[in-house]
Amino acid sequence: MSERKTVDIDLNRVEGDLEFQLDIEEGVIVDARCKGIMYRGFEQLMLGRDAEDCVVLTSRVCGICGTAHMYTSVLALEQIWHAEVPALATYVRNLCLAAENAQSDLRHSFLMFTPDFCNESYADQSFFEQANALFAPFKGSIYRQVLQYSRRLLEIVAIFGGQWPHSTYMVPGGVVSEPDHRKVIDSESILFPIRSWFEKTILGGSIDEWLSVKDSASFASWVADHPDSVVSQFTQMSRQVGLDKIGAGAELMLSFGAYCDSENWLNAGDRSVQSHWVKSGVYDLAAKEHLEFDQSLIEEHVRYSWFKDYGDGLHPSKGQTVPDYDKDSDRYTWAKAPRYNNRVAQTGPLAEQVIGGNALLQSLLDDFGDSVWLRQLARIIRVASTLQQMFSMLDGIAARIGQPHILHLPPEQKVDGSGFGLIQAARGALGHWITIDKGKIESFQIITPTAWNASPKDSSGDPGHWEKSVLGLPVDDPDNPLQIGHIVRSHDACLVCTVHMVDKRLKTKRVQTFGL
Amino acid sequence: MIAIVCFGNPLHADDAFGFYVYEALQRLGEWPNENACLIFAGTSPLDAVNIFEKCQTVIIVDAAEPDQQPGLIEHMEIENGSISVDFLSIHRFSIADAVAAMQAEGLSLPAMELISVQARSLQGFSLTMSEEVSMAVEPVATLALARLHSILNQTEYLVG
Repeated sequence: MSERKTVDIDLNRVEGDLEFQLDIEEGVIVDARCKGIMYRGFEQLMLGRDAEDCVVLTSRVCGICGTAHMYTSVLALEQIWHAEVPALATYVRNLCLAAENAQSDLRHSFLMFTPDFCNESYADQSFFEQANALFAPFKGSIYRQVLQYSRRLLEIVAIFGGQWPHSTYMVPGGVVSEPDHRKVIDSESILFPIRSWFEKTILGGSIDEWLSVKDSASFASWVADHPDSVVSQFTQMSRQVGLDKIGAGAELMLSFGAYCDSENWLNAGDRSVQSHWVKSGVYDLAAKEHLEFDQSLIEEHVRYSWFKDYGDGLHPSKGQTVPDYDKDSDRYTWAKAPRYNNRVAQTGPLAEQVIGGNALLQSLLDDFGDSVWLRQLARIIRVASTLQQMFSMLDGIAARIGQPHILHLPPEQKVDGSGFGLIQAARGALGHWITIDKGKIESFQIITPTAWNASPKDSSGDPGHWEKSVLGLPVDDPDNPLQIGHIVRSHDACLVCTVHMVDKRLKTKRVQTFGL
Repeated sequence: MIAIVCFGNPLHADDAFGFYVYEALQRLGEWPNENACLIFAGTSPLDAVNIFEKCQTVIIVDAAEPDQQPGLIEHMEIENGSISVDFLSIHRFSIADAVAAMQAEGLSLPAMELISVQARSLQGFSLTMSEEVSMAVEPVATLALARLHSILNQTEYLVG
């Protein structure tokens, strides 16, 4: 009988507060526990505060996707208060969310994921020199270009929202800043060079041509015809080291739908009309079946989390987040275990686009299966459609200049009740569930995209998505777990958006020092 | 332009230092004025590059990783040069990474000064700073303002 050993793998290099505990038999992972080791507690911060405080506070949940959190909170309040939102405001909200998502996709892809091709473990690979020329941190050409363009993208949020990150320009009923033609022109002047760069460098052709690539065979032709494009080189490097063969996990994909359709959006209880530019849904990988999404089927489990156990799963509207840390028990994480219809689900750019009807990704998924490569490819190419959408959004704003950007709610409309906001953030499905009593927040539950992906086991012992995705993976070197890093990175992990400090790498010359 | 740029996270114990110095500076001066601005830049140094690239001089205020006496105030000049790369994620870009990013983009670095305080506690979701770091807020705000006035009084700034 082979020996089973347990090893702790520190993934700090991949994501700040993440550890994996792995059970290994004969060099292969047979069980995994994904450990989020930092307690966040935003749900507790919210309790007892004025209802509208959640919009301001949740934009601070994350330094990368604050717009998404703010948008989600404002949708939850608008649902409770039956607030109508002018189309112009929805266009502005969508534009800023798209800018945030595009910068996140670019930064994660080229500042975080592709630099791993420069890892010394790949020194013998034929692509190593080229990978360094493109992706080496602060030196590679693509790395440097992404630093520049991703910063420029965020200026669009500042133009319409006043600041980024942690903006506060959305309120129930609209946005606080009036759009004008100058803001549209300024934003277009930012977008034009970014689109040109993306087409020439990343895709190797125009976005219009790219969007005509609809299946695996056409993609293979594109890669062959555009060998110098980043998409092609990324694909070749990934396949060379087998990233197209690892990382499949949960068999259910989840998307809450991206970008509220301004013309078909009424977030008001029984009168609700809610459609998205990229539709919501669920995709069953095993059955190859698309299903309608129903938020009432979401539950969270805490059996293996450091929270007070409440038995089986609870819908987030009834959720509880009571810390109960016990390092000596079999619980192992600060993350909860969200489940959809009692099933483990994964979320992110691949899920969003497959569910949204992207024919190319559906074809690649059908032909090659879920993998690190496909998940990351989906993140890169989502930028193409996002940039196109952003130009459409700016056209939509320009056409509505002078129309209302906010419909103020009278105090009597701000009633008590329960509601939720659901949105597609850069990393996937994001939801806020809120209950208001006597004008104050009585309960608040957040399920982030990474909560879905980095979920621990649930009450029935079923592992989370990342845990599933490493099962069966050989581990040659626990000190340099490159493949596990690739898998986690393919989800753009977000366990912490928190502390910032001056670190010891800053090159300084002391002027003076004094204590108190 | 000269900017005092304060970094910090008010929800993380001593990492809130930059935020409270920012508040103290708001009380001590009128902002923005003809020659200078005061900015709270949160926890995102990479995005502060947009500010740095528009400045001749930047005075940065931040807490420092604890490895010396808590509350120790250090005033340093940030030197141009290569910086080791060991970042964790896009959520954890540091000021060092921001400087490296400017160099990688070929941007001219402004003159950069750093006024930091040694942190004692980094406890997550704690709204209270340690006593040593709290006591450093007013002195650092005063020091930052003095440095600003000193720089503004230099001839080259008055001329150019």
